[in-house]
Amino acid sequence: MKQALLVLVLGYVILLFDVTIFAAMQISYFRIEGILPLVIWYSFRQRSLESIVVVILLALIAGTFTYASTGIWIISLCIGYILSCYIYNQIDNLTWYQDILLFWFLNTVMIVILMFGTDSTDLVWPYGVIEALLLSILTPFWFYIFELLNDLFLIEENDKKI
Amino acid sequence: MRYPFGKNRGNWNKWIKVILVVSVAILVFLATGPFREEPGLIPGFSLLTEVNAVFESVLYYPTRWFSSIFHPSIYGSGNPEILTLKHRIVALEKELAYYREVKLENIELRKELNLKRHTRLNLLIAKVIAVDGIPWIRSMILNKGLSDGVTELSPVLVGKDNSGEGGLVAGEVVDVTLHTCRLLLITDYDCRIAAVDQRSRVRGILMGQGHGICSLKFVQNGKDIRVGDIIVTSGLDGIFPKGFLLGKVISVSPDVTHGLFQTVIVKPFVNLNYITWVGIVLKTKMMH
Repeated sequence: MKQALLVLVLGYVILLFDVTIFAAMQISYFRIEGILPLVIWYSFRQRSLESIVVVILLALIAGTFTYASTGIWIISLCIGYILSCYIYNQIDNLTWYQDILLFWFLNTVMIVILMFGTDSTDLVWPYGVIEALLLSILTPFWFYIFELLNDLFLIEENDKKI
Repeated sequence: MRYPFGKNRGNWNKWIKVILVVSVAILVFLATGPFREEPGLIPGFSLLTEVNAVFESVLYYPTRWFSSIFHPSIYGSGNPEILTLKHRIVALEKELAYYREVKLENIELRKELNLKRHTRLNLLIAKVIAVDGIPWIRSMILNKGLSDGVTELSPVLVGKDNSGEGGLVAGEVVDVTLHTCRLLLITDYDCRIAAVDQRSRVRGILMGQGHGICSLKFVQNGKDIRVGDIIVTSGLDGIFPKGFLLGKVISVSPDVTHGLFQTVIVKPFVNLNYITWVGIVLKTKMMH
């Protein structure tokens, strides 16, 4: 439950930064985004069916930050989450560049769904694919931040389990 | 980077799960269903947008400051007197653009047009407090809402820095909450405006192309439209009054695939991605 709350709060803060600070650094269609890496990270942390409720709530929050319909966010993030859970349940022992390639694939899927949902299909190539590559390169850095915060806020829970 | 599967599988009570799932289903229905279009019917979502605006207005401050260095805005001043004067200048520029339109119209219609129109715009100056969460959607959050008299589909203008043709169309309001509203820029893919070539009176629909440009659609092959022509609103869409400036034609080419229409690319006079202050035309007090 605490993990879910952490993801929702983190998601909210990241979205706030997305629409304000990161927007200032946007070049063409490329912008640093943290919400898609957060979904992938959450799929590592929680792989239960109930966890999809958290992803849906995250999508509902994301919907308030954009003109795109909330339903598109729900579809995109849920598919990204389920796909990530499925892929990482099947494979193990990947090298760092293989991880990056998988992140690229997962980010591409989520971005393509968002682009289709917002009637911007002509941006899929090359902008969508390049944006996904940019995000996948930044994903390990995001993971580092998420892990730090996770350890910081959930350290008591982990201690109790031990 | 890899974590064991199901490590933190929750121990939630079965009933809590059921209640949670049903609550989320209701939220999803409300958020995506038919009530989404009616402002104020989903207080939870409006409230969240309002809360977002508080944080956004603080966090967007450095961005706005940075933008204002390179892209000074006609509205961007904290001094109320200067703001009022600039407001007046923009209003006069709009009137000038309007009178140009009237003059052209009079030349065209001569005897038929014996009606003198006068448009008084009631502009509400608003500040941009955030942009859209999706990089390719050109929309912005403004700090004025229902409480200030803003309604959906209100035209939004932005002043021109170099003393030129007057106020320019930035876009339209597409979503309103109590204290904020969402501006959809004319460069967004979803934005459609009835437009006309100011010189040749050729009509078309101005559609956003995303990256700082628009295209004038449905201009038949052979119609007189040239590079450098000024495109203004035609008023046929019932949203934007006639004669508001949209942009300048930067390229014209025939559509080789279908052969029916020309491909006309229009560039707005200012880079709309960097605007920080805008003027919302309040519909209730606008007279024709």
